[in-house]
Amino acid sequence: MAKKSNDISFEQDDFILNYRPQISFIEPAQETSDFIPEPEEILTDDIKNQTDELVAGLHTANALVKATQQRIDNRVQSLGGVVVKLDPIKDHTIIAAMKRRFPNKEDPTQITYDDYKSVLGCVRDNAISPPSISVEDIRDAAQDPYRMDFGSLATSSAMETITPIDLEEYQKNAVLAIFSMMLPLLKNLLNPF
Amino acid sequence: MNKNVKPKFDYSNIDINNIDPDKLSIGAPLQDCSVIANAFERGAHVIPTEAAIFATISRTLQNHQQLTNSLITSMSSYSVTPVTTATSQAAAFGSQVDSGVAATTDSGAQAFTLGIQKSVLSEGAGKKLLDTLRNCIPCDIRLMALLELHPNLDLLGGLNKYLKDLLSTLDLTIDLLNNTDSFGDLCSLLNSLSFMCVPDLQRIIATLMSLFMLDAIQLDDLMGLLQGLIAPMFAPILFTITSLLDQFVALVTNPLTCVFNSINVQLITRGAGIPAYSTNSGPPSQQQLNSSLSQLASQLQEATSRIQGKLDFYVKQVKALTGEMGSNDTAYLRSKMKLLQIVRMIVFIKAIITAMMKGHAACSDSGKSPELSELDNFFQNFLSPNSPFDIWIDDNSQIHLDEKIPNRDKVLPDGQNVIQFEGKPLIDPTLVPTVEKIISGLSQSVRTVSPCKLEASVEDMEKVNQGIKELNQL
Repeated sequence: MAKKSNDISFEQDDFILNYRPQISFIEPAQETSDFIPEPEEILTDDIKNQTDELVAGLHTANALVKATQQRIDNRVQSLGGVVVKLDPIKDHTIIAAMKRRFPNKEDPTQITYDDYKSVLGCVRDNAISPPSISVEDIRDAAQDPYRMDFGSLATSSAMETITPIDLEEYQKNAVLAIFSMMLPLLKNLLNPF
Repeated sequence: MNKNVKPKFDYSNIDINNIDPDKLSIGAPLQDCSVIANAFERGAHVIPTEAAIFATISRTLQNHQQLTNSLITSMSSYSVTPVTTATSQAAAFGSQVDSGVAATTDSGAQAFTLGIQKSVLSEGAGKKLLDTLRNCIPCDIRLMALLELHPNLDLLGGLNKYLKDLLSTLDLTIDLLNNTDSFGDLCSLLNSLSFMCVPDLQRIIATLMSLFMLDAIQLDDLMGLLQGLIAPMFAPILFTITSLLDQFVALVTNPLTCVFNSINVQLITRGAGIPAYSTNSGPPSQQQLNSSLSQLASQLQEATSRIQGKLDFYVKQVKALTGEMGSNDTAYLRSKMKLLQIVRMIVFIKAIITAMMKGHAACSDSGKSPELSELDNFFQNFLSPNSPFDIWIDDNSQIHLDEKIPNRDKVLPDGQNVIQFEGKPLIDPTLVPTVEKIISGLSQSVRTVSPCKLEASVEDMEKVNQGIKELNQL
């Protein structure tokens, strides 16, 4: 770019310093319209559709989770499985749990992948189930409007979630267990010959 | 509730001598299962095999299966109505209208609140119910709330995010299953390692094992209390409490707004906003009536506010739980990805050592490139047995990786059935690409072909050996 000349006359300089642009406001043309945009409103239909989509999506995800689990199972199987060996001394509590959970297992000091899947299923099946309302519950509520407990948390239906602990049975079992463990010692004391 | 629990068996007939303490259950099967699962996971985390890497992902998948089942149950309860109660309710309303008796709405609200049973209100019954409610309560909001039961947007948004996180987790899992990037330059790796001496290769394995163990410790933290116990045990009940509270707010407290307003009108009409517990002057009966109305208004307001607060709390808990699950799963799977690469490297070097010890041509230190048949023999006999892939070389110097999947046909999900039901799309269109990617990953076993480049020269070997010597001197 060519360099501009620095020869600026006084008039020019004064013009530059005092330059005022001639700007006149031009009013834009008004568009006449009766349409007034309404604020965005969330319709119940939209929420219903979103809920339906969510439930459908959860169904889809659930199916995909099951299929992925199958792939994992097959991958582990094709690689020869996994066996975790327990220390008979350090892991005695886990071995005792293995004996209770798998009473027919030949070697309770080994946890296989199948055992692992089995106990995961056990955890899942023993999880607290969502309380559900049965026809009987609704009928009971109609008969007793002051009823305060509903659903499986209050009934002895198949959906019963937590079985109350029978302390008496628990204590008796514990005493029997201790006695049984001490029985070999007691036998020696009572009948040393 | 069963308050008087009696022993279920007779203790007098127990033969104490025949009791095996190890088989005696004192009511703790769940604890046993949890202990065994945790022991397996802790053990598997430090076993450097691919099978162990994949095995513990089952926990994540089982948790999500449980969570999605619970969520489906909870969310489905918004769109169902008990048929017996609803129809009898509508009939009762009809008869009451016919006889000129005002219908009560509390029982109606209760019936909807309890509505889990799946059924659909018939059009006639719904119209009658609508007309009846319109006649007895002039509150549009209340009518809408009674007839349209939807989850609040905050909860809906949180669960939508959970769904996206879950699909991301599955996508990552599929990537873990199908990824063969680490085998991409297998031949080059073989080139670089085959001329090293066995002790150096053993040093590499020892170093990689150290890295594996250091990283494996983190897995125990990621597979912690949340995934081990809280998520499968308490998430279902948390979801249910949240949806029931949400429905309670939608059906009971929100529609009460019009009742609350009518009380305010009464208060203004009678005494212009007399506060609760007022001691202002006036006739005793009037004062007490105003005070009761005021108290009722303030109690309703307080109750509504506190119930809403409780709902907000539980919605936050659901969002926190599902969010934490998602981030934990992602971190866990990413750690698994890293460990998988380490394990594959260890297996590969172990195969080279084995081949070297047997004098295999592909791994000799002569500096001469092995024949294709020798390479193929190395991959098929030394590497493939411990890999999820059959790895072999064809006559055109191409290396093949074929996934081993037994009973493949039974494994594959029907993709179209997963994303469609009776010809209609089931899911949010924005999620379809991710779902289709997952289905594709699940349906197709890995089959990759890449060129096997053997470019090592004697000079390359000398450079590497020199480098290793320098490293050893440090």
